[in-house]
Amino acid sequence: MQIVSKITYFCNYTIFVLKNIFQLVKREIKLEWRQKTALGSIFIYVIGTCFLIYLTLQGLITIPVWIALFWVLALFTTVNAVSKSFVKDANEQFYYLRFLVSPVEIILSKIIYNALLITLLALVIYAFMFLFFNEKIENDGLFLCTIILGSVGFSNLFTLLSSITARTQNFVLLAILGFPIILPLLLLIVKMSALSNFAIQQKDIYMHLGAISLLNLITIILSIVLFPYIWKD
Amino acid sequence: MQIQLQNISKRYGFEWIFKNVTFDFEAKNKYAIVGPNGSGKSTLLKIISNGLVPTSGNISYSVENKIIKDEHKIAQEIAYAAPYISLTEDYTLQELYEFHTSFKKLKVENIDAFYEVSQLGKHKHKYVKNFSSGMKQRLKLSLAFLSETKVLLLDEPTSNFDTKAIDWYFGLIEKYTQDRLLIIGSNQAYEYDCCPTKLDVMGYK
Repeated sequence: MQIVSKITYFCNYTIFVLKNIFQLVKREIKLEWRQKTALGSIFIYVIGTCFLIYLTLQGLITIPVWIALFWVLALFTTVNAVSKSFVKDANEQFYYLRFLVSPVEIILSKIIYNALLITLLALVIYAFMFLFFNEKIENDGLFLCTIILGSVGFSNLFTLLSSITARTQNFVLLAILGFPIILPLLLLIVKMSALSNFAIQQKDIYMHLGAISLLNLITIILSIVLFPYIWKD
Repeated sequence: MQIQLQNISKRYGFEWIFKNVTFDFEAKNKYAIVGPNGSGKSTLLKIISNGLVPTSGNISYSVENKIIKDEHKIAQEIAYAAPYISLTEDYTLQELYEFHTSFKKLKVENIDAFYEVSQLGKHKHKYVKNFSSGMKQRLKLSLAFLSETKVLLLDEPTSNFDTKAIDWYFGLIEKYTQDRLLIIGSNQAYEYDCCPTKLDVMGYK
């Protein structure tokens, strides 16, 4: 009987936490939609860059160049959109939010929201790149998979880093701490993108999917473990 | 809830704000933290709220002599209102109430009762960022007083208030501070008249 009561307690607690996370994600979406700080600046950036590349590199776009340009755009928009996501919540609103929700709920809601935002932006970039360069990726499903996994990876990494920089008021940290994780992540992403064009063996695909998922899992666990220590003044 | 400070010290850079504060805040009592501007009242309140880490010393929270270690449980039992705390200001008053109550229960049954207590009903569709500073303070105080918490921390509760609002504040103090630990950081005598015990920060320099 004791085990049953423990399990029901655990289930109730999980549902409670998920509900809170849902509320917080809803808040993020609502606030972003009101201000459009990230969206507004990024759309002009994406359209401008695509047009610039179109003007200068017309005819020179091969598939490796296409992939490189896509991920450069995605990485830059991510840094722009996510790096300031904690500035308000960790400073002015800190003593308000601290007494409402637990740190794990905060970090998970931010990661989920940022992953959604980055995926959306990456899809917009994909659409524009397609429009301007008409370059067809061989295996669309796999490339979409790469986009989603890559977005989750970017989100995990930059959400934690932005919380550290907002707390310490030191924006150099973002560049220094980001290095050791962004390099293997980019390596895997580029491998996956290449595979979605010249797929040779199914085994290769599964291996890289597994590797990138594991890297994402590690960064999520890292965020959950470390964030409660950051979430203090 | 009972809060015990043991040899709490805080230093910013090379400057000690206060040293070796040892004090027991007993449950259900009222206390005032007094001192001139810049003496560290707010810093001490932030430490008491468990949001700021002291440079040295210990702070412990207990309910009926049972010490609570879980950080989130402590946070759940504290309500905090201060001029330097910002609410989610891109919400309207109504949205803010809904957001707040989805996490923390209030002592009012519905939103109309909340409007009645806070006297902000006619601004329910206004963004909080467009409120006047007195209205913002009124909103923060309403949310804090009405929270179902065992501890209530107030820092300069009547800043930006007119005389009518100050009377409203006295009403809240009378109605909602029974059976709660109340700690007020202030240097206006009328704000902490209700507090029998005073803690002077200048005594710990």
